[in-house]
Amino acid sequence: MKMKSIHTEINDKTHSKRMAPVVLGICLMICGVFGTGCKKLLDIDPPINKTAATTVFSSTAFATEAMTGIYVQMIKSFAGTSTSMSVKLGYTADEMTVVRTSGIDLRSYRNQYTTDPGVWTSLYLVIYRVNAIIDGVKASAGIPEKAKSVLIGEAKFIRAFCYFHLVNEYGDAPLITTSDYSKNINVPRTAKDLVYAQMVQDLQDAQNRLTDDYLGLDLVAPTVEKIRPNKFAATALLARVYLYTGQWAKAETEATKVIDNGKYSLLTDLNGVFLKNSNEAIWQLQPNPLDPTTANTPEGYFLIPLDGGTPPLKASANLLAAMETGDKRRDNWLSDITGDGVTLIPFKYKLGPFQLDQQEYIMVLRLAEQYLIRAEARAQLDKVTGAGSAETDVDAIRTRAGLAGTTAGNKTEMLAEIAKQRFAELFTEWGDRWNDLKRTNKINDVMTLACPKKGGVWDPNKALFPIPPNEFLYNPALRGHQNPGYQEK
Amino acid sequence: MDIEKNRAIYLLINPKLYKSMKLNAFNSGVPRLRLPIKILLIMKLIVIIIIASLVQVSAATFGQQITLSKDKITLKALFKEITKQTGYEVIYANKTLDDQQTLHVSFKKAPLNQVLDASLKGLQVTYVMDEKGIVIKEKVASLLDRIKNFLAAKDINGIVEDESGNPLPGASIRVKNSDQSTAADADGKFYLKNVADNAVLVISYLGYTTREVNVGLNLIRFRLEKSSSKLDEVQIEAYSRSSKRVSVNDITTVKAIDFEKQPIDNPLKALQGRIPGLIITPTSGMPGSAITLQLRGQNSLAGPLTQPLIVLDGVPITNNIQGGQVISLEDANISSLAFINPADIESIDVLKDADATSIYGSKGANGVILITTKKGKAGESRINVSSYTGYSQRVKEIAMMNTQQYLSMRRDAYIADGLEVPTDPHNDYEFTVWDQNRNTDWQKTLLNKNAFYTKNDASISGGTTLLQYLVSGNYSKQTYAFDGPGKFETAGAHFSIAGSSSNKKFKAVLSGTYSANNNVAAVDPTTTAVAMLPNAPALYNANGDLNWEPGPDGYATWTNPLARLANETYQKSTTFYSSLNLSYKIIPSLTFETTAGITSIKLHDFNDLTIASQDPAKIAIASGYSIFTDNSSGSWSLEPKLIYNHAIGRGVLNVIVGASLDERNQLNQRIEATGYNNDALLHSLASASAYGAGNEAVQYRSEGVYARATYNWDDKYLLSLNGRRDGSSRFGIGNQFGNFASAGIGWVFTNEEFVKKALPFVSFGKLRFSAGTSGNDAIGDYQAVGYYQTLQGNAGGLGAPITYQGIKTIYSSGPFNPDFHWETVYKMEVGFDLGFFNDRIVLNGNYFRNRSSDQLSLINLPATAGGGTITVNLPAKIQNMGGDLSINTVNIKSKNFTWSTSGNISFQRNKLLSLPTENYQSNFPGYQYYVSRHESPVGKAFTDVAAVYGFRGVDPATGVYMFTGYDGSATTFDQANPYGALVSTNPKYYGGLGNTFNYKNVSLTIFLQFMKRNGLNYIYQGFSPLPPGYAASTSDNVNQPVAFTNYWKKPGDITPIQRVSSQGYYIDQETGNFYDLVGSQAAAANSTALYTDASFIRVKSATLSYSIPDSWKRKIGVRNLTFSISAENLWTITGYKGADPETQSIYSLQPLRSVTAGFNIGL
Repeated sequence: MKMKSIHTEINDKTHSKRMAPVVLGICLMICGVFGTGCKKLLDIDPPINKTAATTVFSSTAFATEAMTGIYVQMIKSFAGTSTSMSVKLGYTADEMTVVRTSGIDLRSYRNQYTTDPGVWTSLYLVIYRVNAIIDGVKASAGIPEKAKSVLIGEAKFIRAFCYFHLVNEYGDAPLITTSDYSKNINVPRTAKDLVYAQMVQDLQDAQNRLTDDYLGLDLVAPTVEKIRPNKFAATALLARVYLYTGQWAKAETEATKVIDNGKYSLLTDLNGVFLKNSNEAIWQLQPNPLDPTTANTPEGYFLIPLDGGTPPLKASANLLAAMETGDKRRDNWLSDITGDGVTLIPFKYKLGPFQLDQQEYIMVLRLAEQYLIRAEARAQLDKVTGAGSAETDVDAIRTRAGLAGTTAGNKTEMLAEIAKQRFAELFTEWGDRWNDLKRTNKINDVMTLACPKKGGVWDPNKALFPIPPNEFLYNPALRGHQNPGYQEK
Repeated sequence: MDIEKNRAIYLLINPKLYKSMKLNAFNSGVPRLRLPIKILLIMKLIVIIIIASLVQVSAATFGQQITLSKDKITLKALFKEITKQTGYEVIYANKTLDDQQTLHVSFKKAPLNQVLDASLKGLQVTYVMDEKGIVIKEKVASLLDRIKNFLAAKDINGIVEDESGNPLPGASIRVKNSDQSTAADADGKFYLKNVADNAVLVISYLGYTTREVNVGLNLIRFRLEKSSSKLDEVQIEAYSRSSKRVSVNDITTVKAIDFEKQPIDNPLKALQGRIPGLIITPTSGMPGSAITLQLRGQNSLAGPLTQPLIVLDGVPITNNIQGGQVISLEDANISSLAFINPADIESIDVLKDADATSIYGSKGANGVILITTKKGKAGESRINVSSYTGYSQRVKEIAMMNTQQYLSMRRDAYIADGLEVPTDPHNDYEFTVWDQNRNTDWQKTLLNKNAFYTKNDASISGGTTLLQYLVSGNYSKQTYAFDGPGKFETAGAHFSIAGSSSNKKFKAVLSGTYSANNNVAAVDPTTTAVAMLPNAPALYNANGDLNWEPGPDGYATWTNPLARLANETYQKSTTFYSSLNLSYKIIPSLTFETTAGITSIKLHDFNDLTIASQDPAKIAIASGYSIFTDNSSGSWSLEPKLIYNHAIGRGVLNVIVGASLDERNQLNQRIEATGYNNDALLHSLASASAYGAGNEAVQYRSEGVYARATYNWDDKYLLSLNGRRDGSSRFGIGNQFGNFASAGIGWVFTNEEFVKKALPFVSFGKLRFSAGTSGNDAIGDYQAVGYYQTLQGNAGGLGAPITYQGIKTIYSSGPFNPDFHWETVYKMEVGFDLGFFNDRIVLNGNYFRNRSSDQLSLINLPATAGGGTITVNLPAKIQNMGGDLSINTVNIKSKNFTWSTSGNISFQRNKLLSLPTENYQSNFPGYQYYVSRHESPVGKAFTDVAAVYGFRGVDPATGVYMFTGYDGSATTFDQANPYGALVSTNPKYYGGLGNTFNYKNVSLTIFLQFMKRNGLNYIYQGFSPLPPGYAASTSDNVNQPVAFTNYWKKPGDITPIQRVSSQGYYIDQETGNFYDLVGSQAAAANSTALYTDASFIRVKSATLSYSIPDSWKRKIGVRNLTFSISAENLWTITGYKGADPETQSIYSLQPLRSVTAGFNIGL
């Protein structure tokens, strides 16, 4: 044992010297494996339920799925059941009276909002995603030019659609045209005119890129489904943009392109207008056909009660007043569903909850509006009566509604008639009445009377919605620029 | 035969005895010296004889004789005896002589000088006698002595052993006041060359009392006793072991003995209140529920993922993992540690400071919890069996309204609105259909059961010096505190095998834990029990069937809460953890070691909705659904390292160089099958008519290389250095790697002579300082890349699939930041460890300061940038500081009675040192408060604060809640500043206090936990905060807290609760003002009113145990037999009005009070 101990010690010493390179070697090996080869070791599997953006923009099919996803999201955000822009902006204005409070935002109904009752956030989330598609498609090497063009056209059309609603509900709005977050977190409000100019540019670009036909998922073959925007959708929206910006001649020209191309016609049967792919539809959104509750439109789901139930909303006195005696729209687009003779509910969509057979799509753009746009443009251009005048366009609408020709004889009367027809024709469609009242500076006159009937007191500041408070928190450039009458909190 | 025990000296005065003892001494093997040494020895002997005779000559001879025979006597007592028998006082200074050393004496009329010579032999002292007494002095080394010492130098061979004779490999042997040192080899043997004959050896081993032994004693076996000092408790630290005495780190250790008798179902619960700085909050009282951990506050402005790293036997594991759809748990997460049997755990160590955690690099920023399982020990086989059984029950009820209170409030609400109380029996059933006089306390009715608990463990362990094993098995079962077939059942096994080659160079330890858990869960009925209206119908019909209380149309007017019992919910999981540790001693000072580990948790979850659980009147149109969930998570890790241990100078240098590689995988799959028309087929996917499905997988990898060096100089100066380079897959290309380093120093000032002199009562004192960096990658996976995902029916990923134009579509998950990088936390800590009166009192204190300037945070984006959140390194400087103090005392220690106390108290505060760039400021929780007051948040607390409405009570004029407005005045909520007040929920201080009393064989331990903090007030917490008297819908109402009866009734009333309304709003007829009472209540639920004092002192556990006396043990042939009775959550002192001040939830089952009794038998 003693000898062994000495031996061990000697070994220890010699080992220490001999071991030095071994130790160094092991250290180097560790460093080699974990040091230089280390980047490889950090390669991980991609998530199984997600696709990297770079992959998405490597093929037309993938990129089209992404663009199509935006239409689905638009339904979720802007055409949901109780949060639908058509319903909510309808009762925020003077289109409807509340019957049953559940599902109704009473602060909006009474024009008492102190925070955003609208869709600022949803609109910008869609804008971010169309920008991401524009950026992604532009940079893509795998998508053919033609498909690229269509995708960018659709994206720009949607961008213009979102900005149209932003400037109308909020006024000046930050103009965002890139998906790079670092550029978008510090953006001030852009003057309304400049935003409109961007809309015009986007829509003109969309007109150039999109085809006359409605396209299928391959972005090549035509289809009867009008659920992707085509050139005329861009044109129709452009006509509206020109109308809203007072560019009457351009509005007339663009509206004429839609009316005269022969693809669309006013249906004489009012009950057929809102069916899917109706001849009057310029662009529709397809509700989820697999949803067992709302396979048809979410608005129908919300507005039409189940048997024996109480509807949430009925036509307001103002809306009924816009419909003359004998107006077929009163009989076909309103319904006395409870049979009490007074509760006339909006009935453009006729299929309520649990209607599994998909027959109706969400109408976004339709021909009747183009007639009314052109009528107003012509009236403003002093083409009030006669051939190619406001009168012919208004009468096209009146006739379809079962009414005699208009008696309006001068510009003022004609504009009043057009406003009335817009109300009667376009109620519960994307806040058209609400925007019209503002555009034509009638909002204070109308709402001062209408608001108390809803249980509120009209404040002219309420014509614009407040920007949501988080926007001021997260975007310092907005601070100090809330709409008048609201807090930035 | 034990030749030596604590310097026992055989004084061989009696000639007869002399002979026999001498023989014995030779027989027991005095070192057989080597040849050249023998010559030396002869020379030495000659010298000694000469000197001895000289000494004897110099001392005057006196005639006094002493007779004394004792097995064990201290020097002090011996001197006393000398004084008694001879009248001579023995005088000496304490520092000269340790008078506590014991001797074996046998004198028969021995002369005094011989007695003194014999008893002082080997000590560095000399003595002088005169008429007055005997003075013992330090021996001054004369020239002669020095020559003698040189001549006396010898080589020493020895073995270091524990009390039962097992070798202690690695024990340190040092020659006092010299640079000579060595370490014991695998057999505990050591060899030291040329040691002076009068030298003192210092022999130490982790966890054992250090011994100083005179070389002159010619010993070969050195026995060390296990230390009872808290300072010597073995602590597991990063890749090595240490103790408070020699470590520079801040580590708190909890040993099995601290919690083994507690009926805990999750080892993490053993840490509650015991670890300074660690807050452990269970999310609910349901078994298996998630547990949140927070160590020393949050080092990030906006980082909820700052959980400590948990390492089980060297393998990193994840605490809260995604459970299935088991709706019995408040959140979908479950704690994976619930599948680890607390009885298999040897110790849990919590590492806190920079130096302790920095070696874990990436994952150590928020502290590290090391769990070590039990291992077998060499020796005869030991069998241990224990069994505990008990019950638990709900502690407290939430005060909700009774029928009379509720209906009268609701009626008042209609009257206040000028409306009729409803009579239409299609709605408002509480008025129109249900018995107006029925009153049910639903909490009593639905949470009525005593939950049963049983836990049974058995283990066998043992082995030889070359092979040790431990195998254990356990079975436990808990039932739930409410109706139903619910049970939480676990069966598990744990094993550990350690083997080594016969030369002990190669060692392998394989340990593993397997457990199978069957959680037949019922839905936690707490929410229902609290919310159900007091006059809701009876549970059963007269004929014993479930009562559905049909309305006029024949349909049910309520959902019978027991109907859920017809549904099936279960979660079956299997858990496997295993680690393999291989080491090879290349040379005595260099070891190569590798730890490889795997973990696997597989979880299958099923729950359904049967037709039988639905309204019988709708059975014709009813259909069932079932949800199948399969989650599996697994990981592997590999940690090779080289360990170098070498005595250098007066200390030991320890160097570890290693690498680590870690991969974790998670796969979740769910299928929701709907449209079943037959309950019997709910398990069959083929029988469904429609499906929704989703799955997700996550992979994570990390790697690192590190080096650690520690040096302990003479147990006086301690140094530790760490460096690590880390890579994580969570970062984008180019940002994957980060470097971290730290240093720690310690000074054991009580080992300095001047301190020993000045502070003799301080038995131990050490100052520590450590500083360094640690990293953090605790963010979600795949954050650095932009992704597209298939759009599904609802946010959960299930529900009806969506198609558009005939295809499923994809959608961008939003903006992302590819550029974030490692977060670095700069940590600094000073601490002290003190022992007083032979470590009877041990005190530890720490002060820490963590600073971080690029915390990984999720920040919110404005909608204009795409909304949602992205991960960034937040460029704000923040500081998190705090301190803690722990004390361990042995208050009374007598033969039959001991009383010991351990306690700790901690606090932490944080503040913002500088604001981030403007865009990211809003992530600071108090930001809005400061901005609205035009104040700077710099210097203010940044976590555990919330900016909320300032609650100003009810306006006596309108009866509506008022809040602080922008100008500071009270106003309605829509005009008020939503960030008008700041509340803090940061605990002011918290800790625990344990007392253990032992009287003979009876032991009582009482452990208290306490915390001072703000929490949530259940009155305003609400389900969805509803104003008094308002019903969310006419058919599905909820009860309200009894506090709501005190609502405003007429102008001038001063009440805490606002006015009632059946509509949720109120219009002032005169002014036309519209008051939104629903909004007002929601604002109150987000105001200062939501916060209330939630401080508590809780008797967390109390255990009484009795071990049978040793004599009985021998008689019945057991090693140990202990009976114990234990209670958890026994009693809480709190002013908090809700169910539990700790979980503060009204939605989930409160932590239960449980009492268990059982026994532990060791064979």
